[in-house]
Amino acid sequence: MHRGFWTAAALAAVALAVAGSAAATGARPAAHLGTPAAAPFARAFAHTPTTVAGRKAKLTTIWAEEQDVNGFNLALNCCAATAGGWIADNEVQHGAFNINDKGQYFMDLVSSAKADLKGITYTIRPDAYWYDGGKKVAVTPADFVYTWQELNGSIKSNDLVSTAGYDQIGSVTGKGNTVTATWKKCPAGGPTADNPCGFYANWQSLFSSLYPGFALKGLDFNSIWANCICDAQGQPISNGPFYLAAYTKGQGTVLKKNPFFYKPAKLEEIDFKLIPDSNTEVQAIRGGEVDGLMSPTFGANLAPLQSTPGVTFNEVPGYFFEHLDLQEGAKATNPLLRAPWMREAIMLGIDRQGIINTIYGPLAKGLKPLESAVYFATQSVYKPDFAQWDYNQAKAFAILKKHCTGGPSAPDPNTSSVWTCSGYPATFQFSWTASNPTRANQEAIIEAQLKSIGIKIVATPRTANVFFGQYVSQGVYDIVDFAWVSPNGDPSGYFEIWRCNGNQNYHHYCSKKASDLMAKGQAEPDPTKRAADWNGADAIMAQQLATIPLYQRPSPIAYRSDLLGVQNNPGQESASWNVEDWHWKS
Amino acid sequence: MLNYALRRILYGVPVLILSTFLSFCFISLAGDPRQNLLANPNLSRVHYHALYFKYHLNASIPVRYWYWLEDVFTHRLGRSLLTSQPIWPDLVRVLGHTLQIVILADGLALVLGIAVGVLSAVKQYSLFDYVFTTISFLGFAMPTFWLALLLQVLFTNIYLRWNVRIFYTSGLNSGVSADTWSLDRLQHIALPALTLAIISFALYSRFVRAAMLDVIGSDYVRTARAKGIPERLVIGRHVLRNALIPLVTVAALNLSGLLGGAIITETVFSIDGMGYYFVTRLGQLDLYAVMAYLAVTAFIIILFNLLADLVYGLLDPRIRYD
Repeated sequence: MHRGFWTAAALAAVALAVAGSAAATGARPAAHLGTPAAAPFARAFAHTPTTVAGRKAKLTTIWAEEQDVNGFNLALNCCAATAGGWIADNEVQHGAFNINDKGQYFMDLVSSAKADLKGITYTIRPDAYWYDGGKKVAVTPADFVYTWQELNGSIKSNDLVSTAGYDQIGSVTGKGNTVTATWKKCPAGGPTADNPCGFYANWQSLFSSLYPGFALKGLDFNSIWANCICDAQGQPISNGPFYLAAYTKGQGTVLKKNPFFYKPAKLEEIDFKLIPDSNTEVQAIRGGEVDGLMSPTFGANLAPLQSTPGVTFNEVPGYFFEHLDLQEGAKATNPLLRAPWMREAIMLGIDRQGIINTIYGPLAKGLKPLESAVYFATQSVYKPDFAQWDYNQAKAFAILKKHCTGGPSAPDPNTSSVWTCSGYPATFQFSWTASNPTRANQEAIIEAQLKSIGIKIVATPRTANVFFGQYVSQGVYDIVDFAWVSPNGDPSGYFEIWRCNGNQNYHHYCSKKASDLMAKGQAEPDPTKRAADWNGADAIMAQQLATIPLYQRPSPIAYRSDLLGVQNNPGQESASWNVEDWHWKS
Repeated sequence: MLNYALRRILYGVPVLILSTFLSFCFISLAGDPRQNLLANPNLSRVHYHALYFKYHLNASIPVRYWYWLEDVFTHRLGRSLLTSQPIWPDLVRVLGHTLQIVILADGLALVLGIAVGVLSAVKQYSLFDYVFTTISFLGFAMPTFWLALLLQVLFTNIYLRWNVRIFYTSGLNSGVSADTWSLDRLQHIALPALTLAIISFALYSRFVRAAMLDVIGSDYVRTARAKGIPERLVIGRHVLRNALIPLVTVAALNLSGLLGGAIITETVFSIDGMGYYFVTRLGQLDLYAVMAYLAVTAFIIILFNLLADLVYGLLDPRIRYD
């Protein structure tokens, strides 16, 4: 009996091992519907050297990245994750414009581009080519036409994350190397939410990721590129410096040099390895398992990388608008926030620089409070309109003393007195995403700072899944702390957030004058005049304290110091915008 | 025994249905996954509302559970609520990775645990016994995350100091490859397996020691010794074999628990396994992915419970199945 049992146990163990082995082969072609044949990718195993010296010799680098992707067609709702851009799309799918380390647009696959109130005219570079499974195919206007047709929302079945801008184009035509996109004519009443038309101010963002129309025509747009960036036959396709040679779900990507890119990459291969935990990422770069960290989660655990020999740590203020919204609508528990003087007292009572220094410590590195609600401090058109409300405890206290009764006699960190103003106590609920430790710390600091001037903050953290849905978007809050993320720093995304009755104006701020200026800016083709319109609106919003900007959350990268050419970027591209320039120090 | 097995399988069905239904209710009540989408400034209202109907989010929880159940059988656990991707291939992949680590960890823990347990029992109250008793209690007491981080830092520092790569500290392979069984894969899964093995070793060694001491004092062992059978044979043939019988149950239940995913270990070592899959999907409130994970885990636990009972009966002739 026993001998039989142990034999059976041994057989079971072998069966389990074999099952594990079979199941663990993550690169088997996914058989789900509509995906073009992906088998060639699955077979393209990477033989990446395991030592830094070996990788240098083979002109290869491995970077760590925290999130896996759901697919590489980033225009779809399923897959519109920044991670997808980092580990493949930014390097593979290029277009008319790219964004540099200063956060500015520059021409990429086009040699000229001009926009006016009629439309946009592009001239495609003569040396712009697709790599299609080893074949060289010219980028043509047909690719622009295909991209527009798929992204403008007219194909209702396309599950797009956004049609912004493309739905304002009425037609796209091409002749030779010239592409002409013509804006839709607006009716007498101007554009509406149901009928977007006319000039799109953030026009440089359009066609920034071109789709190869010649290779994808006839395929279901919702099903392409689920596990590859490839043509209908599963062959890799690219118009960027690299092509996606292999993707292993849960593990990462292998990008290989595209020999037909107009500016050939200096490296032969870049691998992105998925390491979801930022502490593990730190150990991985210390131990030479990876050569770089692509935008790791920003936190104090990254601090040791500043002094790790052979590692360069870099951070730039990213396009993250970390801010406090004060509810002016009917669903606030306390109507006092509608009073401008109360909003002034709150902002004057918050030491934003102190928050930055406390939260980020040695990683704060010259990070200053953000003083605009429409532009970022790193942009040339930035104006510090909110600087007039920089921390001034005495001034805040004086305002409260003027309008309220029963508060402390002087600013005092230990006071328990709370002002009563127009019959309402100066007590406000403060909400944030409970799982976010940075915001929990921010709340604690703000609570202490406001307590000392007689304003009571009641901490009300909400779980992530209800924070936006049941509270922020419904306007059910007094004060909330969260961030708006901008892909490219353009203010057009703020239109629906700050204008009267905007779709995402959850805090119910309304200034007709500011709304009109923003609407003007949305339709202004001249960049200087456009910036003036948006800054005009910002000045009004600052005067009325539409929001409390806190700071731009830093966007970090870390890489081996002998990997040259790496440059950080405040937008969603992070360091991936110029991978063709990366090279090992000889 | 066949009747007993069939009856147990039939009992397992309502248990599985009840456990999945309760899980479905709790996760559904935790919040509306669509609401996270509202934070996306580019989300179209049309799409936002379309999600309601596409995933039957407008229906009551029992009705949605029924739709989910339908998906389990007709579409192999259905598709992710957030990504619309099929769930089954992902689960198979992560289960495979977890299986590799768990087999290695449990194998190691069993071999060491049995060896140490036997020696501790035979040499009761010796220095060896005291040392390994202490180690076992340390294994029980050490928080997994701490042990995992400790191993990670230790092996990184060994590499930095002596430039010797013994084990890797992250992922399943160097670079990105699909190699399943290779030295490189072994070097990658060694530390997570070691972390799990140390904890299981503590359990097994204490269990074997106690079981051995129980059997050593039995009349039939005394009889065997009186008959002049060499001590090595008494221990190996009479004591150990009988002491190992209850270990089967413990090992089977422990293995099924580990197959559900070592959440902390897999997170620390960035392993694309069951535990990590569960944590990320739960964080995103991806209801159908979480349900698929729970259903598979519940199935594994029920299956291993049944197997443990059946094997126990096979090994111990005193057990009879009615």
